[in-house]
Amino acid sequence: MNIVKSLSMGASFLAMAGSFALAEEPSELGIGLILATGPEASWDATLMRDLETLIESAPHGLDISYKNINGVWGEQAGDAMDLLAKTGKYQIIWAHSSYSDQVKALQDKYPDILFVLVGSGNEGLGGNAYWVYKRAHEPSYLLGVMAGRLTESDVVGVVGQFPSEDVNDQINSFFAGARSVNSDVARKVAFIESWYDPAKAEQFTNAQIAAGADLTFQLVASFETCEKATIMCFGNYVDHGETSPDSVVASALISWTQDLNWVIDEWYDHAANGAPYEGNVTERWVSMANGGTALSGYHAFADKLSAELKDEIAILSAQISSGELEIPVDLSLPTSD
Amino acid sequence: MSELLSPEILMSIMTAAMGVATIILLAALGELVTERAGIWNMGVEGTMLSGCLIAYLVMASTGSPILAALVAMGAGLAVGLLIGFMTVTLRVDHFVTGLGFNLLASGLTLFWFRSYVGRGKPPSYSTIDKAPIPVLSDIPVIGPILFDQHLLTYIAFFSVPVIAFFLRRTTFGLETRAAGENPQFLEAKGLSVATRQYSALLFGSALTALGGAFLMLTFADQFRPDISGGRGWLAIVAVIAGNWRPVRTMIAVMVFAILDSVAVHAQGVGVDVPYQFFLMLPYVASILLLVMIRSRSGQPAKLGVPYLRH
Repeated sequence: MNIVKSLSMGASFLAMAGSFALAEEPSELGIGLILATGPEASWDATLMRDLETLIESAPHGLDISYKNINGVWGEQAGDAMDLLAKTGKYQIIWAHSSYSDQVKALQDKYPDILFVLVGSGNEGLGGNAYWVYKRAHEPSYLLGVMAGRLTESDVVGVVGQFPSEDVNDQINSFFAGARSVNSDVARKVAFIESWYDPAKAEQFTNAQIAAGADLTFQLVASFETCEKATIMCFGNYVDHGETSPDSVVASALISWTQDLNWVIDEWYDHAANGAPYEGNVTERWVSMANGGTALSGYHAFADKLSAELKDEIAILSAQISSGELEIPVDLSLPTSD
Repeated sequence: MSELLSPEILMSIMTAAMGVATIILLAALGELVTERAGIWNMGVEGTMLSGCLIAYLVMASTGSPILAALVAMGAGLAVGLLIGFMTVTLRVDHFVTGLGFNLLASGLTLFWFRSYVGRGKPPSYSTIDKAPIPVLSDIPVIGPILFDQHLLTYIAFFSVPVIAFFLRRTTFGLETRAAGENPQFLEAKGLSVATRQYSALLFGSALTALGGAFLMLTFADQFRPDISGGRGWLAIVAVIAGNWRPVRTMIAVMVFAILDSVAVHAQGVGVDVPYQFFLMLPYVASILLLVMIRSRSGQPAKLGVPYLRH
């Protein structure tokens, strides 16, 4: 009887010890960032900005550190991810572009690492691979409404990076907004075929101006060109009105904060509670209503825009946020008229 | 398609082409002189990239475009010295040296740029303004195309006859050509082949770096890794397509630049042809030019052959 009692007590102790081990809360988190360009590109800079802010807030009391590897693509990116994983210092590897081929090859090799894929061109892998999407079509629509109201030549341009789903949706929404208030708007669309190339961006912007555009939506941040040509521009991802107040009317902003929190929560649940990873296989994006995107302020243009236009934008913005106005996601390839 | 041929768009195409041509032309003229001296400098892309970074760093730090251009040329001289030491003094294979330098420049400029910027936003600046020539720039059509350009554009195009004159009419120019055609002849006359080859390399590399500085100071307000984007390679192709002659090289450069500008404008105006077709035109043209020139090559006889002093 004593032996049975002792065994049962021992088993209870082991079970308790096991449950303590499972419940042990991690205090540190390393995040490896794989960036296709680097901090000079708004897409990457916004992620680093939001990550820095998140580190300050220390979710789950975590001491978070990160390392970014810039300008890597294809096999090189796969090697970089593998190296980060091998060090054992990085529990989350955030691959900030189309890297699903590389992650697919690594996700089973490192089952405890949470991989993140970002944006279009990816395949939903599930398991320990999470897929973050960014759709800025809603603020882009609002910029389009402004463009439609402000254009004098009725020719409006967009200079984009590559034609891809999360670029096309913005461009199409922008023109949808412009045409919702001005059906005469003619579209001029150009892709510089690079995620970041200021020289090409300048050339393409000038070509659109030559084609009659008096307003351009700059997905490639060539605001200097707008200033020299004295035309108005719209910015993308970051608030370019702060740095180019003479040309940028407003910008479509993106935030990664909710995505970062989601991913960290998922990792934490896995690390602290043993919850299995359940990566999404379909696109997951945070709407403007939920803080995933936003429209910037007008900065120097606050006094130049009419009160009617500002009111119109405020109303539309409220309607989008409340769900009263739904901006459809149009992924078709935008072309010039 | 007809919009692409409208007078306004055609003028814009030509005006933009002059700017694009300036970058390639400066590098091509530098490479032309270098190759006439017998050195295949395959490091044009890396030299241009180095010029871009140095110009960016100086411009972002001081705001002086003149200083930025001068320091970039200084960096070009240093690159020329390095490539000269490898190819002329150590007689390392010219292709290996140039290609190796391109890889080094790509990595080194990236490292330097990232170290300079850290985790912050890269500093930017206002690109330099054009310098229209009074009266001439007011001439209809050709005025804006030819005489409303940047100072370096005038310098680049003016350099074409100057370099042609130098290579054909000056003693040192003829000796430079002799280094590429018959270096033994130079030695027999008691003249140093190495001096002429080093001089050509230094001049060529400085001019190439100036092309990079022009790209940086007029087209972009921020550096980015590998911003030269293959323009250095186009410069080499232009020299070959131009049959190692200054005026023909300039024509080849203009063909590339105009086609590049057409590709850019075709997207802007919205032609019915897929824009990727226009993007490949400069490269198709370069291949065609190389094929056409093959049968009547004016390539220096000893180009790329390391010279061993007898």
